[in-house]
Amino acid sequence: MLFNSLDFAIFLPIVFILYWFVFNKNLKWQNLLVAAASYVFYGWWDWRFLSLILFSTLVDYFVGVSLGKTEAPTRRKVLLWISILVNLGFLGFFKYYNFFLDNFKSAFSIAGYELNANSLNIILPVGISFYTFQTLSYTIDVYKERLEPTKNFISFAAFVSFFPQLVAGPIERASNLLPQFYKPRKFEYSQGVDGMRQILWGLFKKVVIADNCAVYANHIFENSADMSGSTLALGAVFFTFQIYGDFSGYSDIAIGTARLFGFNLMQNFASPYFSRDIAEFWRRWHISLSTWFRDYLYIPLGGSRGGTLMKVRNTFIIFIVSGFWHGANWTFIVWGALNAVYFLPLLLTNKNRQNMEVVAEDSYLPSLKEMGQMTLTFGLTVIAWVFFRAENIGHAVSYLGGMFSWSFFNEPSYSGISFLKTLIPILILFFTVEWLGRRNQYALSQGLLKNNVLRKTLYLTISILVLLFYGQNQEFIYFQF
Amino acid sequence: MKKFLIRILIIGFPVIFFLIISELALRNIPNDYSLKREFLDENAQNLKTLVLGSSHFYRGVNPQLLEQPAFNAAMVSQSLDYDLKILENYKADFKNLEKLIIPISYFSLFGSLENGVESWRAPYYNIYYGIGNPIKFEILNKKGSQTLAKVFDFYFKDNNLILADSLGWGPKNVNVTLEELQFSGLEAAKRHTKKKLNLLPFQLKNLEKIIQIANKNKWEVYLVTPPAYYSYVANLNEKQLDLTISYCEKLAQDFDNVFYYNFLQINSLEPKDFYDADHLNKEGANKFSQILNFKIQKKF
Repeated sequence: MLFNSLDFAIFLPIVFILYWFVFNKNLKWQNLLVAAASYVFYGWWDWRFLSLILFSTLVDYFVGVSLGKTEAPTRRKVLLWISILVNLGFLGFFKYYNFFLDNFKSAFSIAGYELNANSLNIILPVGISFYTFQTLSYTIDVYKERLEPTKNFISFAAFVSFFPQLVAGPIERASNLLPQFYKPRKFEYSQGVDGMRQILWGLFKKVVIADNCAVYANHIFENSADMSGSTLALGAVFFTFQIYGDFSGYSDIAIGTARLFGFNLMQNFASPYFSRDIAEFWRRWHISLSTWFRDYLYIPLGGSRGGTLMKVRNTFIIFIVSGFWHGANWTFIVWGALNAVYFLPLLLTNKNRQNMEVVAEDSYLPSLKEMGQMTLTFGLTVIAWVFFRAENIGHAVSYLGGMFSWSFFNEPSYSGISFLKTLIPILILFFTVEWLGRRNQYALSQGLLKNNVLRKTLYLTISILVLLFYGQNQEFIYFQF
Repeated sequence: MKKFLIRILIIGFPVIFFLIISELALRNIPNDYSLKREFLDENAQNLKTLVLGSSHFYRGVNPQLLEQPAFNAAMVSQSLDYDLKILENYKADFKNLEKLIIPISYFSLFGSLENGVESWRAPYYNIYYGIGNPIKFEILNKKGSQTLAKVFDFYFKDNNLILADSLGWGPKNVNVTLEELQFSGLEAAKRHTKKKLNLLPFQLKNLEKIIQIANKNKWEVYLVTPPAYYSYVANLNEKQLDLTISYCEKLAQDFDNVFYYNFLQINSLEPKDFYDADHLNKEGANKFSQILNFKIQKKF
């Protein structure tokens, strides 16, 4: 079920009413409703994949319970590996089987051997990378004794499948979300209004920004061979806006929806395009994934302890694995590696933690230096996104080759250029709100505008724009991951 | 909670009201789909010749020049699965039908309406024909701004949205330059060349079902590869084209009531007969319809 669909517009009020008016007196029933609604939400795509979630939930629940009963290190390790193998096994099979097979075949072919194995026609279950990581975090935390294993299966099933963030995050930690299922939830007016506001902002980002930019980004990327350098640059910038609007929009809707049910999810984006260096960008982009890799991969690998070589190795590992997490394609691996290359100078000069606070924290506008830093970081990100969006490495290289040619200085020209007149004022509105709200959990949150009339005019404008651009539901990019 | 719900209702009610009014207003606007449904509902039992298929025949076949009474039920991007749905919906009514003419274009066996760029048309078959996917809303089919423009154009500017004539033919009276034909040929060939041929079994099955229905009802089926300008033909993928032709030839061999005509490169049509490299204009459509009718009558 897509957040921006009629199905979800009907589903959400039904679940909301059942949750607060029918099952509000019984926590167990409320959690059961959340789990059942989540299974309906997920089964809407393909009910066959429900068995995967259920199996993963059962395995991790019993592994957790067993870890709670044993102190023996070997047995605990075996239990941990069972969970890791089951979860990563599913992920590996559904997402990476064909990738590895094709690459092995190519490698063998280069060596003069023909490997006789056929690719499988595998459908990737929606959101498998997200819920796999969420359940893994539970088992690892229980294994490390950072978290008490749960004996409440319904709460655990609801935690694993919690529909607002099931298919595209934020990837929640068990330590944050699971305890919220144990405590009775009380509806608070301010939380409900805040949730609705965040949903509205998420819809705006998705329907108005991402879907409009997608039309032009897709057209330019699909016909890149015939485009001038300036048009290709414009296409890459369109995609840069598209992916941010799409993914952060989904996160906003997810967090807002969870708030309607009395849950607090972690912030997933914090104005990443206002970052002054790439390290800051990665602290602000897909925070739930970056911190997952930090806690469960980077730190266990040694983190920034040890020598320079170790730091460089660990940095490359997490960026490349993070790229590979996005998809079984060399383009994602190169995208990750490129970000590691961007990050390296900061790491080696110990400047990776110099921009911890939000830009221009005490002023309305950034300084000239900050403007320059933000522009450079944005430019580097745009280049990296070309690899993320391209069909393959060859396409990305030819795209960038075309972009950095003399025709970069020509006037951009493609069939949809006239629409820019409509899109530019909307993008200006979007950036203004994002800039003014850069200190908040999400840009439109309460306190953005003190003046009541201005605030309501802004809400009305955003709502009208959502209605005007609504229609032709576009899937969220991150569903494929 | 009460305060929250009241607020939601205050905000939500005008939005829902606006959406319902827009939906009703949209559905009330006559269009090519509603025209075709009305015609078939009233006249299906009289028809002798029925044309199905995509824009290649919606634009390119004038039913007045075929054996009468004839009707053109083709529509833009209407794929074989939708041709079958229309046939299944009306097969009991086609009491006098003799000839079924279906275009098998370069993309017909490899694409479908629901997977293509015109997928937004798919709900129209449900809304206006009562076939296809379960109930859909037209307001969700296009952007709100496009919906408003459509409603405004019809109700306030009196713009008619029906492009087809009373027999379902949607001619385009446009002439283009050779340069435009060159460009559109390359573009269309690129668009119609499929990276994956995975829809072939699905569309072949649909075509076979159409033939089975025709067999049962003793209709003749004319599979026709429509004419195109050479800039289109020159840029086609050989494998995809060969598969298309060979499957049609095989069906014509296997079934006595199936005939296949390949008009892809036809000498009697000139550049001035096309409005783009793979669509005939009004003049071209009239020429081609006569040629097609002649072939069908002579059966050679």
